[in-house]
Parts: sequence; structure tokens; C-alpha cells
Amino acid sequence: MNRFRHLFAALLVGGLLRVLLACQTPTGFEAFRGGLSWYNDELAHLNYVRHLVEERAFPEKVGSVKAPDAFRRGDFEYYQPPLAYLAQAPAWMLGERIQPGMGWLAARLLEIVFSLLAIAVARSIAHRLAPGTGDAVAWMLALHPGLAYQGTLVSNDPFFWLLAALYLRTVLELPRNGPSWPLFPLAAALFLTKSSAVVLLPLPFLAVTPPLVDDFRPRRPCWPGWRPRPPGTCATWSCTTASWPWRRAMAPPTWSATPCTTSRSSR
Amino acid sequence: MVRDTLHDIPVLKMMTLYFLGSLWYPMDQLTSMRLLPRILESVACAAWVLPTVVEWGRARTSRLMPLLWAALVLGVLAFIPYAIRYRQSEARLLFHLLPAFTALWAISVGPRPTRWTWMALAPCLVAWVVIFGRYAAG
Repeated sequence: MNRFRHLFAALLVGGLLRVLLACQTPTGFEAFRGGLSWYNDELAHLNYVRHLVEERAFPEKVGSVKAPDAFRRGDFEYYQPPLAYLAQAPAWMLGERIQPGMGWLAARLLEIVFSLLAIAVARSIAHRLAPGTGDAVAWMLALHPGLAYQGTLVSNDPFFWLLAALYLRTVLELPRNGPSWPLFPLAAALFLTKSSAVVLLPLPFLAVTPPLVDDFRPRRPCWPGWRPRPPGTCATWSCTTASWPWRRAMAPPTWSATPCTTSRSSR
Repeated sequence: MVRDTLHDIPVLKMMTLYFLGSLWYPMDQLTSMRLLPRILESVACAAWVLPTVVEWGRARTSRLMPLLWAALVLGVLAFIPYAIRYRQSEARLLFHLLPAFTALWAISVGPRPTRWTWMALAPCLVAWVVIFGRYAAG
């Protein structure tokens, strides 16, 4: 427990800063308060969660970010893969149950949990690669203002950062005889969270290329018989789950769908 | 789309300035227009990258470096179609690369990261002072 005290302290301080930002950052269109401003696409992400909760169905792609007043309506993120929003929906419902109209705050608090978990994973990456650096990394990430701000707002990014950190941690362990099975659900979850996950796909293949594996060959005498399998399976999973963002991106706009606009304007 | 973007000089200028200026500072849309906190966080983020350059000798010995650099290059390359599609950059996307930056930093600074840590932490702390000062001032 003692060796984690810096991590806990960093998460506590970072968590408090994020809770302050969650409570004080306005959600309304072009709203400002106390030097803190809205962020232009949070409304669209909030509408996605609200739609899941209220309609119990995935939203249709109704608008484009290029459309006039897109940021005011907040209806241009419906093409996104749903996993992060499905995770936020229970938080939204809980917040609405505790205090009607506060679902957005509960969703933000859940985002903070994802952000703090991502910090813990990043610390473990640093500690694994260079023992002694983990605590420094935890503090740096906890106190980074931009990361704190973006990790507080409702979107699919904090959940993606957490998954991406877990994915990279798994990939970095591959040449060191680490387990490969977590790559499969992680790749699937990444693609069901954000289509940007495609940039992470080549990493397992690079991790097991001969020069890297060769460095650790004494610890893996049976190489290369089993090595291509994990990335291959990872690719299969990824291609399967990638169909979601692909289908969403290619779907024609359905302007007849009911836009899920928010009634909560500038606070 | 690509041709339109490349021929649209004001958009290109905007993209370049925005990307370079807000590369490390996707804080919020009001704060990011203010010079002081923007500079502070840019300095903090430069301190993240600096060890990778200064301590290149140490970092070069790590067998994982090609993998981490590949992660960074892939991530940065992912911004290009985004910038062309939407004619803007989104600095927030760079946080996707945070684990890779973290790993590079950890390998570069080695077992005694105190100096590099404070170089990155100090501007963040000052930025929080500025943020709280503005918050208190309303």
C-alpha cells in the first residue's frame, strides 16, 4: 500500500480538480462562467446519452458538424460508435433519479472515473518500462490542465483514452512474453468507442516483428511458432467490430429522425 | 475535398496556426484564447517531449522505442484525414497518444526523473493558479 501512496495522492488531487471543473464548467451553447467556458461538441455528446436513456434506442445520424447552427443543436455526433455512451447512460439515469436535470453531472463524474483509471494505467506503463518514473507520471497527468478539462467533459474520449492505455500496455508486454488475449476484447471495445482506434491496430504487429521479439528470444524459446496468432486474431476482431463506425459513417443522413435537442441552455 | 482544402489558403493558414498554437493546449475555448495559460501549458508539454530529445542516448537503447515512435507517427498521421475532412484540427485528439508519450518520457528520463518532472509540473501548477485566479475574479 505504501508504494502506491503517491498514486493515491495524485488521483485524489487530480480527482478534486476534475470534480471542480465538472461542477463549474458550463454545458450550454457559448456559455462562460468564472473563466471557464463550454466546449463546442459536449452538447452533442450529451444529446447522444440523453437519446439512449429517453428513447432506449440508438440515435439516427441527423446532422453534420458543417450544418448551420450545428453546435447550437448538438445533433452531429450520432454517427459515433455507442460503447462509451452506453457506459454513460446508467450514470445519467442515476443522476436524473437523484436530482432531475442533473444527469449531465453524473455523466461528467463517470468521465472523471475513466480519466483517473487512465492515469493509473499510464503510471503502470511508466513503472514497467522505467521503474521509478511511475509516480512522476501520475502527478504530471493528474495536474495537466488540458487533460483535466477534456477528461471531465462528456464525450467518448476519456473512455477511449482508458482503453487505449490498456491496449498499449498489453502491446508493450507482448515482446516480453505478456498475455495477448486482452488485445481481443480491447480492440473490439476500442472500435466500438471511437473509429480513431484504427491507428492503434498496427501496434501488435509491430510488437512481434523479429527485431523486437529477437531481443527477448531467450525468454521465449518456442518463438515464432505461436507469435503471428495473437495479432491475426486481433485483426479479425477489429475488422468485425470496425463495421459499426464504418456503417455509421457511410449511412445517409436521415433528416426525418427526431433530433434530440436539449432544453438546457447557457447556465 | 482535398483539392478544395489545399486551394483554400485562409483555411490552410487557420489550420496551421490552430494546430501549432493549440497543439498542446486544448483547454477550453475561452482560456485557449488567452496567452498566459496557453504559454504555460505549452511549456509544460514541451517539457514532456524534451527528455526524449535531450536523453536520446538513453532512449535509443530501449528496444521498445521503435514501437513507441510508431504509435506516435500513426497517431499524428491520423490527424491528416481529419484535418482535410473537417478543415480543422482537433488538438484533443493528441491525448489519444498520451500513453505513448508517457512511455517515451519514462524511458527517456530514466530512474531519476525529479528534474524533468518539475520542469513539466511547475508550469501546470502556475497554470492552475492562473485558472483559479480567473475563477475567483469571476
